[in-house]
Amino acid sequence: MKTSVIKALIVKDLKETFRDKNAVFWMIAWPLIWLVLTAYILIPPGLDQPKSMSLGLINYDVSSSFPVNGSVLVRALEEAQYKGVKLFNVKIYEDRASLIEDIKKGRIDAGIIIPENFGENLTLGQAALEVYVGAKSVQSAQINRYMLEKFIEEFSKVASEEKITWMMKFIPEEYVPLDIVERFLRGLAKPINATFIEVLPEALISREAWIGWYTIGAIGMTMLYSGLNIGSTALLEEKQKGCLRKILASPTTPSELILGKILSGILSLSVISVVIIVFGVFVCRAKIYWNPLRVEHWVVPAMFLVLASLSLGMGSILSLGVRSVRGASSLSVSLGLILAFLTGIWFPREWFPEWMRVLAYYSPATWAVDVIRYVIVFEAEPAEVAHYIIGATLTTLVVLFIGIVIYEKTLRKYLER
Amino acid sequence: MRVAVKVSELTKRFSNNIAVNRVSFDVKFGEAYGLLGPNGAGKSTLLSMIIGVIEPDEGTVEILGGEVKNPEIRSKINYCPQDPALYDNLTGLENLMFYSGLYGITGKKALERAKRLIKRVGLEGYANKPVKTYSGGMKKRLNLAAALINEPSILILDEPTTGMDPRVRREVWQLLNEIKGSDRAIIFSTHYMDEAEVLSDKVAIMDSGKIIVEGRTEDLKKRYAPKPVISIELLNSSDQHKARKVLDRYLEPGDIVVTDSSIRVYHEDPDTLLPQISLDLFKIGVRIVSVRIVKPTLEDVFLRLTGRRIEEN
Repeated sequence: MKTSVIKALIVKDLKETFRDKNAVFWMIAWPLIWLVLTAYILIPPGLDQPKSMSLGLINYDVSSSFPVNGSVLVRALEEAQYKGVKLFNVKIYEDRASLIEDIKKGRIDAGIIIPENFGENLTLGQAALEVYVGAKSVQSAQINRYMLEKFIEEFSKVASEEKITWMMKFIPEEYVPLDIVERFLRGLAKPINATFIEVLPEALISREAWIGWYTIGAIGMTMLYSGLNIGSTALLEEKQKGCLRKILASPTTPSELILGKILSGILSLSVISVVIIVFGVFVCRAKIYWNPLRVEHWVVPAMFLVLASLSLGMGSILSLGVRSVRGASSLSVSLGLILAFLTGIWFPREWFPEWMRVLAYYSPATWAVDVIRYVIVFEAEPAEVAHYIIGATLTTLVVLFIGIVIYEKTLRKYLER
Repeated sequence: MRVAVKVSELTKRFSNNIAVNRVSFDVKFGEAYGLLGPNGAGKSTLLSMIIGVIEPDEGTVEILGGEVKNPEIRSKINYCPQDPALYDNLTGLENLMFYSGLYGITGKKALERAKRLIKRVGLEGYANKPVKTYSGGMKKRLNLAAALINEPSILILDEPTTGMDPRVRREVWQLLNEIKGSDRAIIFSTHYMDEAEVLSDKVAIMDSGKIIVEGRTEDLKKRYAPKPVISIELLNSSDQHKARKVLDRYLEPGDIVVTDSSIRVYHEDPDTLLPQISLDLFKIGVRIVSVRIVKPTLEDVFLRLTGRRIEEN
């Protein structure tokens, strides 16, 4: 194996690839465009913050003397917060018509009308409340309705507590032990006092971590279609340029040519990975945690290598069925994008119906991408995903071996034509 | 002179077609050996077997006393394909640096050699420009420079001037004549007889995968076309039978070769014969576009041996 030959092939291929505007678009510009669109449209800034809604209010219960009344409800709505974010931006309306008009025109998300005697009815019996929910979209209607339902449910519990306190004044002390009556009544108002604690994967809570997830997805997607393209055209391109015979008339052996082609493909894909990661981290603010001092973190470049080799190997298998560089490129890009979209590399597999997830479960490319995500986005230990590491590596070795055999056959076929 | 390349009984079949059929020849150092023949004669397949990129079905190729598969021997040969084997997005200099790397020539040595060759083929002003900006002639010259990057002892060229305009062809011939030397053997294929005559010391005429005749250009002409030639171009090829009848009166059948509207007549005394046959042809109504007396060429050798013209194929 002559290093000067391998080096010459790699340097030549890298220069050729990165001077080709079409290749640069597909290998660098395209994934970066997707990443930016995802970071600012699919995961817009503030997505990980609680949602707040604009709410119109009319309070006809202004003169109530009962402890829980319309004014208390208005104040509660104005002050409601979740994780430091005000939940309702309250706007007071004078009449029903203008409130409903603003909901219809989408100026506010919802409206509540507090009727006259709301406080009295709430204290002595059951109070009515008119709630109007805007339906700009099915999703926004669902979210707005859910937020208001939860708020009214909570407010009802507070009102029940107040009602009990108020009622206790009217029960004679000598009748039954008051603490028993009070406990019983409070139990009626709130039979279960559940405490909800949110437990989410630490790394996925933030928008930055989501962008990290998609950054790895962008690399996976680009590696798939670029690897398929490079792999399927590596020898065909040399043949079409008329250089294949000249290269093999030199001391270069077919094995050196194939190795040089595979290595230059891997290097091209590595350059793309670095560019996408740097762009993801510094432009889109992706959260990616990789520590070169931690030995186990070297599984990440190893998995990138596996992914690159796998896609190149698949490309070489594809070369069996292609006749022209242009045809091979179109086929590779289409196939690569379809695979990336359907195997959980670009879109989360949870978005797909169960039957479609099968592709993701059995895709070695997805295994490699998932290992990278687990380690540098979820900060998991590589040992936790050892089965994916082994599966992806073994499959890649098999595919690469088949690819090399095909290359050797293709080479002979090209030379004899 | 030492033998540089020895080809013995080389045969190659593709399906049912025999592309090269039991071809044998020797090329010595200091010799330029031309393979002349029409397209499809098997020249390129023969060259591909000599450079070792196609396996022969039968026969052997001995280069510098060894096998062409030997990397040490391969490092002493180079191949210049018919269409420039160049990378359009690389500059001329980068193309040469790439090919020098394939021969294990790297660093300063490679750069100096590449620059020297760029200058030699007259491309010094374009060394750092992408090849995609080169004209066809410039690409051909760079292609030739790439074939000289390892200073080969054996240079193999496949149709070195096909598709070139006459001026560039002459430039390439001049360059090839310059690089000939006692320490180098050149084998080239061509379907241009003038190219074979200008460049080759020895020529093998190929047809249908076989060498039909081989020898020094002048020897072949003396042997197969010793007489001067009267070249007649008819206006209508349909007149060839009438013309043939007239010519048969003056000449032996073997001294007349008719191909479509072109007739070549071989005669010791063309000056006397020309007025007679012109008059006779005129009398029977055969219309002539041109008639001239020319020296015999390798085309005449091929015509006498196959009855066809090289370029017609």
